[in-house]
Amino acid sequence: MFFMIKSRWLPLLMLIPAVCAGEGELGAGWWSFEPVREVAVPSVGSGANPANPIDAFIRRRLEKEGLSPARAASPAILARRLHFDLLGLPPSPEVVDEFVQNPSAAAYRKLVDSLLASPHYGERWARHWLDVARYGESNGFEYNEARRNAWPYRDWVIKALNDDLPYDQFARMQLAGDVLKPGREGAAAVGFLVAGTHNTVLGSSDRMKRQARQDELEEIVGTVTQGFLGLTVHCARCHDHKTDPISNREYYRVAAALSGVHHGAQHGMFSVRSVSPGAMRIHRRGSAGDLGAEVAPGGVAALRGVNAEFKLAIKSGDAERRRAFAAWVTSPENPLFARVIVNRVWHYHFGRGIVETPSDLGAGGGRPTHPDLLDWLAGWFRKNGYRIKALHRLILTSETWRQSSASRPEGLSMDSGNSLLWRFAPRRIEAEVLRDSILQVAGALNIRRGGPGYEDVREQHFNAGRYYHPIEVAGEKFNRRTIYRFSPRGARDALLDTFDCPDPSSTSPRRAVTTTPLQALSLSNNRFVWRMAETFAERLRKEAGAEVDSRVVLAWRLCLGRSPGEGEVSRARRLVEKNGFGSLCRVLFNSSEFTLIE
Amino acid sequence: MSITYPEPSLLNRRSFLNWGVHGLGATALASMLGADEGGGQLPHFSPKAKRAINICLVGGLSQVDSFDYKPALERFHGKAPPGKRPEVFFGQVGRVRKNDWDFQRRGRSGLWISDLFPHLAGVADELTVIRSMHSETGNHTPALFLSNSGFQANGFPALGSWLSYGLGNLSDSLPAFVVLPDARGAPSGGASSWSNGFLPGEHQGVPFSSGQHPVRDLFAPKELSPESLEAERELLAYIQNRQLERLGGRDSILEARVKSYELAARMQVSIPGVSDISGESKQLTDEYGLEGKETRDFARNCILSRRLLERGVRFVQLFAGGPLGGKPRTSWDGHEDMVGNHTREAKRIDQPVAALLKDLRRRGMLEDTLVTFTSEFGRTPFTQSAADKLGKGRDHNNAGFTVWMAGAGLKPGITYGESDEIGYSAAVDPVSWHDFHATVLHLLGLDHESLTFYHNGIQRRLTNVHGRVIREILA
Repeated sequence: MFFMIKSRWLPLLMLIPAVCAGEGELGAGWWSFEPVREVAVPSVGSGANPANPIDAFIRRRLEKEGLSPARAASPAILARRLHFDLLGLPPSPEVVDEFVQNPSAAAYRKLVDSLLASPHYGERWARHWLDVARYGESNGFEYNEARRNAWPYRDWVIKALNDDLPYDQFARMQLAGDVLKPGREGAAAVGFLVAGTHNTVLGSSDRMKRQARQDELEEIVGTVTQGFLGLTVHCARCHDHKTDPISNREYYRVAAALSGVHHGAQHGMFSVRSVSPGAMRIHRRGSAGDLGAEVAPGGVAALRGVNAEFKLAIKSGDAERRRAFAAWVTSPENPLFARVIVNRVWHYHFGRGIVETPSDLGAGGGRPTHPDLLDWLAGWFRKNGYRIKALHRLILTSETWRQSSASRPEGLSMDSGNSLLWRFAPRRIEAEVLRDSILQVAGALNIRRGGPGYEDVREQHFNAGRYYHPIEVAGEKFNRRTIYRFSPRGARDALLDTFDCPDPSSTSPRRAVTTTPLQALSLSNNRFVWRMAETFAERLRKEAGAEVDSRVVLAWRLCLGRSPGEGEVSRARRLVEKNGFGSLCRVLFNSSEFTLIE
Repeated sequence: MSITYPEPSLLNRRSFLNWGVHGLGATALASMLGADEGGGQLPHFSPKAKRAINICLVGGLSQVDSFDYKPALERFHGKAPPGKRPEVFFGQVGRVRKNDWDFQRRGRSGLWISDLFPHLAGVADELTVIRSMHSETGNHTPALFLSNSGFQANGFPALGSWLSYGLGNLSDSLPAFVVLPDARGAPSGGASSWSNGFLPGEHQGVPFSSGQHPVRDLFAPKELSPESLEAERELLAYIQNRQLERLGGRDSILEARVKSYELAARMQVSIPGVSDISGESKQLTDEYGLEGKETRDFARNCILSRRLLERGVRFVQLFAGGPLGGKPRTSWDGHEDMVGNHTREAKRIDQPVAALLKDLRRRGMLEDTLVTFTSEFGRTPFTQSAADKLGKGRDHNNAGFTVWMAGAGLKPGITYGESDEIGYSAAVDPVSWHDFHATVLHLLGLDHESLTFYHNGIQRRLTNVHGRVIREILA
């Protein structure tokens, strides 16, 4: 964001009225609706051009602002950063040692490849996608019935990522898998469409029921179009979109394409129940009591290069509607499809996207900090077969990603938000990563993959309503990775909740990252943390023997990925004498070095 | 600890706003322009209220039996409702039923309040009653969400979260937004009712429960001696200082974390302090009804609310009503038996709420505290029964119902708006939840159109794209 750069933010403020001007400004020509441009890799002013094109784009821009990139992070930090980024778990001391001893480019590439091949990779990156998919395991609203058979979708996402399923197929399967590949796999994949809330308490009148159905469709349209296209089509339900060229009529065309989708079951799992959709009519001002003209299924015409006309009858069936819709979304000519995913992946690697609103590339969202880089990446990704793992490799081997986190006065004063990437900004690990890492460090992580989740809530029935009370659970079967937690809506876990894990009520393309006293209380006092600190202490005794110092060294290596300094050893020794090892382990869990990725 | 703290502008909630996209709300703009550096609070204009408290009735209070006197019901009693057949939630439109409680004019203002609330009747002159509320839905949970967040679906920030976001926290040792659920349990929808939605996590409502541990994870499972604690803190600080040095001596996240641990330590002192009501005088606790069998739960919560507000909490929300359903029902959802249900529910809260208003008045707090008393919707003036039957229960009614406010910035002892002849739908000066919320924000110094947060394509507001401040009720 340009206004983060002090010399520029005043002009930007003056621009705001124009940005919000409304429909006069709308129409073709908005950058993200134009075809992806062929962009040449720029040359940088000083020295040889970087081997990785990403670095050329980033350096070029830094040079323009009079900034320079940071030096490379140390091998120990890099190994740690890579593990958190790709697996959501800290590295083992042995892996760090090996890389520190031989931090060559080849060894680095090998490390990246081995992490991408780990099954934990899919568990980590599926969490990102499940945020976008607002995946939750209950209906929400008043009754909030559990969905204990929704997990095949979660497992499908994990497997698809681990298998490096090309992203266009990944998208098509989630939009129309049950049509394209009938059977269990297809039924699991379209779990995406119905992963959101579903109100089962409806009024008695026909109008109330139709209104509730329209609300549900808006939820699906909103998630689908934001998730795959960075388009907020749902904003056009009651009127033309306020900032993007999406008409009210087009909202109903997109809704028509998805209107056969209902919450239900297929192959014994929670999935799409396909219902013959009938004709869709415009609902004036969004009201089920005020119907307008019938519309045929279609897309958004303002997207240049791809045909929004599906050539389907107003009364066509669900299968052909979704097949046509999936083809439109994933068309190589769709200007948004590749841009959105490369930006999304970039966002997870750097903590912010090239466009900082990953699910909104419209006029209401952010502007790209590096528009040429975004288009170059989108073109590259498309040419290379939509392989997400290849995109990871490209990004992770860049010098830009491997920069140190150290701050410098000129960087802070010119670009405190680091939008130009003059360093790798440290950031807090997500709630799930925190919990998983504590388990791993304590030696208690149960790596069992897939299947029904572990339940740390007690389900209470109160008439038709369901309540989920958090309960204290201990034992191996609860020590699985957090992605396997049974996650009904409105039933959040104290630790996860405090650390900004979103309730899966709506799509979360960008999590809040806060620092609060409730987090400090949680990490200091939560029973799980205490229990794991004791388990960790026990592990140290078993693996490092009786000697205090060697246990201290191992504690640092397991938890922080480095050996302790002299001052740390002597202080740790004093603490252990007074409080025991459990106390030391809690201190390490609470340290910024454990909870921040540098 | 030797870490020095950055200037507040680096860390306060507004720096989060700076991360938002263009099209910022006025709050963020003003902050970027340098207004209000360091203070953390930024009303858009001079507020009448500094803090607020909401008594949130779950299940649906009958307006025609409480605050909306309709003499015509006497005439229509036992007859079919006049006019077009209403659309009601469970589809049954029975005969009109007159109010089961008598109404009287109360206080100097002469407000009509029924015998359902004899104690509140005694503070009638404090109340500003809105008799023309209407809601988009007559479905419990969406209606409750709407009354709290402006939207029917899960996932939108509650009013308290918006206040925390817009005004910041007055206390450095208590949360800005505290929730006191009904002793019988959380309302249907659970914690979604006090969710921060898409606002940062620090703005979520923090539920306080009774007992030794009012807030989860407030204390360690095992008590630590001060020396042990100090030893832990010392090592923690040492490790973190080393890291900070490595990062060039300055990093806002690291510094914020250090600060958060200091605040946490303060909360460990202040939360048990505020929750311990044993120091309140017997005379006062009797006034609240702390000894009464029916009143004690709500009395305790009302006393606790006052104590929280006194110590700088921005918004306290008390739920009157637990989960829907139950036998007997544990909310105001009087489908079968209005007299039994509403008698039971009103008894729990009437005396404590009246005592709260009196207590706030005596302490001078009502001058700058806003009190609101809301219901997700009202109930039908006709019974939920076959068309030819006069039943005992009333169905949901979102077409018209009554809420009241009291305190800062309001004209007291007045009514605003009117329902139709039988009290079914809002007829004169109808007020939506968006209007209600706009007015609450206004009283707290916030412009409902400028208090925004970007989320999924829209600069979101508590009032969506609606809302009108009800200027007619402002002092």
